[in-house]
Amino acid sequence: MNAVLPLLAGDTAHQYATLLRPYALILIAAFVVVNGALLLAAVAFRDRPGRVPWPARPHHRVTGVYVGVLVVLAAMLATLAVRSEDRVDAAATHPAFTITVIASQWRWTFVYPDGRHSPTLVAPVDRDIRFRLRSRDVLHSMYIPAERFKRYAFPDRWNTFDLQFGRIGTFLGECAQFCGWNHAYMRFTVRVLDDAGYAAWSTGGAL
Amino acid sequence: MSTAVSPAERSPGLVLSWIGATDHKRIAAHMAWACGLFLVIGGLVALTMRTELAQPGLQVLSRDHYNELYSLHGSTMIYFVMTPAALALGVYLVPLQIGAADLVAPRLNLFAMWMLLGGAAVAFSSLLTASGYPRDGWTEFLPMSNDTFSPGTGTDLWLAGVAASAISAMILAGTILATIVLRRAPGMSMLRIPVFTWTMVATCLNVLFAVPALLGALGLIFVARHTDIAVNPAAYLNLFWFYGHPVVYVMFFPFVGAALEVLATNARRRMAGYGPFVLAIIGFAATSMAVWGHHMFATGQVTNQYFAVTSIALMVFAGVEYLDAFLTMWGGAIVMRTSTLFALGFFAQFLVGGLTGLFLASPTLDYQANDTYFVVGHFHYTLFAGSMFGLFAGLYHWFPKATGRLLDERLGKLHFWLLVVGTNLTFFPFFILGNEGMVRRVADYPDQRGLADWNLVATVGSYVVAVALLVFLVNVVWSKTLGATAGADPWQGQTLEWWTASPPPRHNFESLPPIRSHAPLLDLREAESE
Amino acid sequence: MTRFGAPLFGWAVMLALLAAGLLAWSGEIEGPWLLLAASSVASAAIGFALGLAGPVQGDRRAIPDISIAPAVTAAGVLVVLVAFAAGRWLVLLGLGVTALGLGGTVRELRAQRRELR
Repeated sequence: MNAVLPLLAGDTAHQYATLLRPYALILIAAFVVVNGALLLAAVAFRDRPGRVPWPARPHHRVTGVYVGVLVVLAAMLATLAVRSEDRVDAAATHPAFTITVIASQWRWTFVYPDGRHSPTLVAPVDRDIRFRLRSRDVLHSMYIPAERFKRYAFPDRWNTFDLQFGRIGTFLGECAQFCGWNHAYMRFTVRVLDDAGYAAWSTGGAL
Repeated sequence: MSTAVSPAERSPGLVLSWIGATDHKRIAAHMAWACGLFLVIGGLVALTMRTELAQPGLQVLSRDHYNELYSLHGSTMIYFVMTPAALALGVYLVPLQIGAADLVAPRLNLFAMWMLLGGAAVAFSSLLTASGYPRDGWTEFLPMSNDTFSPGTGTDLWLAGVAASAISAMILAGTILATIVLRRAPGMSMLRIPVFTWTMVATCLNVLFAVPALLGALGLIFVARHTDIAVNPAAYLNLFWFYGHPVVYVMFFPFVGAALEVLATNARRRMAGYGPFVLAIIGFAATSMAVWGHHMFATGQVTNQYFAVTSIALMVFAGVEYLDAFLTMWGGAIVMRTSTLFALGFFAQFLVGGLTGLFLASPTLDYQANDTYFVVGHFHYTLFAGSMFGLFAGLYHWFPKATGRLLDERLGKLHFWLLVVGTNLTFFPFFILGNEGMVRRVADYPDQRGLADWNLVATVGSYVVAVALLVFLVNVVWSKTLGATAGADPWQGQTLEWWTASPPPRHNFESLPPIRSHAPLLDLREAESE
Repeated sequence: MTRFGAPLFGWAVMLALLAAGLLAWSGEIEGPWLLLAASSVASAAIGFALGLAGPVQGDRRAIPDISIAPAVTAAGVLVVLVAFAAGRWLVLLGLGVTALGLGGTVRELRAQRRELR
């Protein structure tokens, strides 16, 4: 069922890649156009013997058009950003199950529905998984680069979000919010397994 | 023009001048020297950090020492270098640009200067305590900064020092703004004040409305450390970032003003789009008060979409400033002095910071990039490759006014090109590192995926930056005593500060020209040539 | 109203609009909205006050070129701030030094007024 729909709740890496394309295009184009124009002006109007600067005059039309273009661009970027955020932060209607994540100085604990505590995040591929994240002490941040996603862990409230892992494999997890002496080494491993592998693990098997 | 009766001129000793000079020019100069010293300290700390990060593993520093150093670097650069430097530029220039004899309330400004210097000393002194410099960055989020997780007096000394610098900033912003309101020369309406002075209006507004939130945040840390009251970490984040975003514009506005004045003067042309610029800078400053939530996208505690929209909206105001820079140059006769190069470098490189800022303004993209080296790259492009270049443009432009001597042009150009190479070599790899998942505030990183290679490139770049700054220091020290004499107006300036002698007398002006626009000296020259 | 009152009112209006936007978007009276609204009210108050104050054309003052009172006052305030780290008893010392500094300033102000009479 999930495989039929192209854009799924929690499919963060895919949303990131989808948004990145138009964004990067606009930003790189802006860089080239603006810096190109400044460079052109600097070179074309270098001081030369006998050169007389043009008298000043108002630039109402140019400014008006330019501001208009900027407003349109800003509206485009804002619309892209808002629509994408709707998708990334949408709650899945039927998450497969919920993993509770406890962050503490300086390790991660993943608690599964059957009560199993694991230092490794083990997950089945292509399923919406709900996470409830909290800290035991200071602020931490659960970051999985491959998922293009992170969330803060607070000591006084839960953060809930949905993720979907689209690739089988082993991935790096890190703590992205400074949390003291061992912050640099507060990493975890993400193991994404196929359904059979995950079923085997969750019934007590090893990885 | 306000007149002042002063006692007979006498030359106080150096120590007495530092302690007690009430002249805004002396206060600004002393602040500049102090910020220069703090820049060297913050820079040496950065070099040490970069040396450690050149290779995976811990070679030079322990985890604990690295954590002290990265915090020292950020706190020093923001609280004790760039914010006071921005204000110091205004302390020096605003009275001169508006035709005033001094700033409003000179003794209060002197008090503010000593709060800054004393505050820096107090904050640095935490290094000497058993607990050391607080480890939680310039942001000192709770609960990490409370007495459970950061015991000892180090954090309390830091709180005192930063609070002192905050009080200093508010006082200076208040007096600069009051001076602009109350002490303009006859004929100088608000729409005739120079561009730089307008950027100081925006800067002062941001300081006055944002820095109280910093004092509130510091107060929350104090409460958490010394009472039983449990402080809500999300409340701290909101309060801190309510200050923490506008302050980055405090560290930007004066420098865009300086860069625009340099471009106009060196293009030998009236600045284009003065009116739109005034609207843009005030709109920029106001909107910048409403974007702080973008620092908190990954917390899940703010209305992400609202802050995404306001953050993206900033590009409209910034764009007007860039248009004005372009239109000023288009049709000019641009002299490529060192100051021009730095002004152009400011616009070109700040753009990288601004565009990556737009990237970060989208929550989806920010969930990946936040708290990684991508963000570190972004703000070093805006603050260093951007604002600092604008500061250097201003320094090369106004050093002759303040000292009566020109900075050496050959050393200046060497400084510029070294810094261009150095900043890009250091900070561009940060975007790649962030994209590869390297998080920030870490003494070490996973030994994989080319992280080591790009870290090494960045470290090499940081050494080039150090050499560039050394060249500048040599230039300043040498030129101050042996540089070519400047005269009142070495650049064919357009604004009032160029009317008076270099350096200006104690009360700035013996006389004033007629003021009919924001470029009175240009008006005079054009009238004469007719 | 001075010409400067207008920009500050504009600032207040802009902040109020931004606050209204946040309220509309988030639908809650939450912390962020309160902060924004407070800024807007404060800037409107400043704009109003400045408008009332009117323009002040230069005052004749006899401010000394050298005054050590501000440095002394700053030292006192810093000691008070440090007292929270280094020992509460320091507050007394700090307040004393601050009083010294402020006293020095008062003396200078009196001397200025005498000179201008």
